[in-house]
Amino acid sequence: METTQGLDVRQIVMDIIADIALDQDLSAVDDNKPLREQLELDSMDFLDIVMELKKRHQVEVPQADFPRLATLKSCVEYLTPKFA
Amino acid sequence: MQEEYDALVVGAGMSGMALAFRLALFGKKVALLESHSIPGGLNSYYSRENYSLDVGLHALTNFVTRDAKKADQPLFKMLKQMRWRYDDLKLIPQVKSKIIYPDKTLTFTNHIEDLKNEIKNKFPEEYNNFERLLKFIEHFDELDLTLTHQSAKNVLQEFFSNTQLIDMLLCPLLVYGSAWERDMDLAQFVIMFKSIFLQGFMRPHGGVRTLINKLMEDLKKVGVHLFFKSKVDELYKDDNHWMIKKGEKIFKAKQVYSTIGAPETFKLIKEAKETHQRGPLSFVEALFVLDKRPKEFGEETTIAFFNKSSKFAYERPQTLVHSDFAVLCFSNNFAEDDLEFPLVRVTLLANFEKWKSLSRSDYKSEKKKIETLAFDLLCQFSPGFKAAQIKFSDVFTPLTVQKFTRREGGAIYGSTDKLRDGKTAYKNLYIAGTDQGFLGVIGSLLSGISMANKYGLINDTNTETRI
Repeated sequence: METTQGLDVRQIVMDIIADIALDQDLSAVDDNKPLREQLELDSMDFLDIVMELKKRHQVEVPQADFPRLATLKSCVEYLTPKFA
Repeated sequence: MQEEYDALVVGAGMSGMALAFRLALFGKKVALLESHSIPGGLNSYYSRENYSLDVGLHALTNFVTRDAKKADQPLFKMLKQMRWRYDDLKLIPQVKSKIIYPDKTLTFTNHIEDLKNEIKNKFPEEYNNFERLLKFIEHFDELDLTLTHQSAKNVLQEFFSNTQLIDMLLCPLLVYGSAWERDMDLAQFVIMFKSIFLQGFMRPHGGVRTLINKLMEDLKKVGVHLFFKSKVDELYKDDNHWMIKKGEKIFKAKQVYSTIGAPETFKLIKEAKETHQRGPLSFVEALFVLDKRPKEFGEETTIAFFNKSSKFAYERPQTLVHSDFAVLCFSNNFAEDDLEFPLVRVTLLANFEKWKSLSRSDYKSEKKKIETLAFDLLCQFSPGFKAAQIKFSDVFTPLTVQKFTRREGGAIYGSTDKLRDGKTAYKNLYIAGTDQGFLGVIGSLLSGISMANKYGLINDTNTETRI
């Protein structure tokens, strides 16, 4: 797989969220704040994010690591090595 | 001829379609089998004399506005899981609905404040209790799949001393979803209370077709294999696989999700380990296409729960129908009138066995009598209808319901034994839809979604969740 920079991983996650929460405005997302509150996501939505990561990029996120997807910043930190 | 899939879904009603969509969205090879020639199940449609008519659906519940807070709203949960936009269903909210008893009427809208005011005016001594009930409902976790059965009526008696108020509040909730007579399960009561009184009634622009067309479009997009006119002959196990026999054809898969009802599912298995009680309740519905829209003579009610006797009994009548209680649905009376013609539905509780025992000629004449009775009830509720002309009418009996939906006894709310976690006595055979116990159209979609997530998708991520 080609090398993916931090910015791209952020975009990958944003693309997935945009396909799940179609009515949400994602332009003002704060990378440091929890996604759950900002975008009114619930556990079903996080499950979808995880399943989309697997479906689109063959990236696996075990359940124990779900909390690491809390903010965009933590998503990038956690997922970037998996894309390397 | 044998074909292998990851999962087989039986029944292309709301829950079956949502379930198949979710599994296929994440790459499963899914076959969806439907006995009827069109999808929709309990909420379908037909055309007669150039009139496009919905069957089953009076209104969707769970209405919230686009800007409402999204967390914990079934509508938004469903939309996101289906990958739909709020605007895809072109939802139109109701105007107002009424629960009518001989001496009192409670009018409610999609704003709970209106119902609170009604109770303050009509049952002032119970107003504080109603507020307490609202708090209780707000904090109740009705989606906990481990809850056991509890009587809603018993709980309501702890809140209110006025039994008529209890009956009036229960009335629309029972009528729009209870498989039990006279009472309902507490979790189901809370689901229904929230979906009707706290959220509200709505209809998709264009009726149920809008919803079904969207589902069909999406099922094709994710590659679900659709089989219509495909009534399952037998369901059996072969080593580690489930097999569905349909004529000469055999469908094979690790998992089967059945949405056709619990008793109906277990009947497909020879010497089944499990049997389920079929529901006692069925309905007749008369529908009238008229020459005048209700608002032309001042009738703006969306749905009326019209009760002519002081005691409302949500139970199977001893006669063909219950003639002093009707649900009147004025399909034109939503915030926008999207229908091409004036349409009114009158729904009465009915007794399946009584209808079944009629001779062919009696059946025809009794149907005709129902039409007269239904129109008479309509005129009693709203005398303006006396001046309206009937352009087209049709009557569905419990036999019609059974024929088209294959629900035994025409029991549209299914069995009285709900399988809340969807599990059966058999490994890899799951129940979704009406008999899993989520109610209404939005509830059925969520039932399909949550069963697909729980048994079909979560194992893939080694995690657990609940809706």
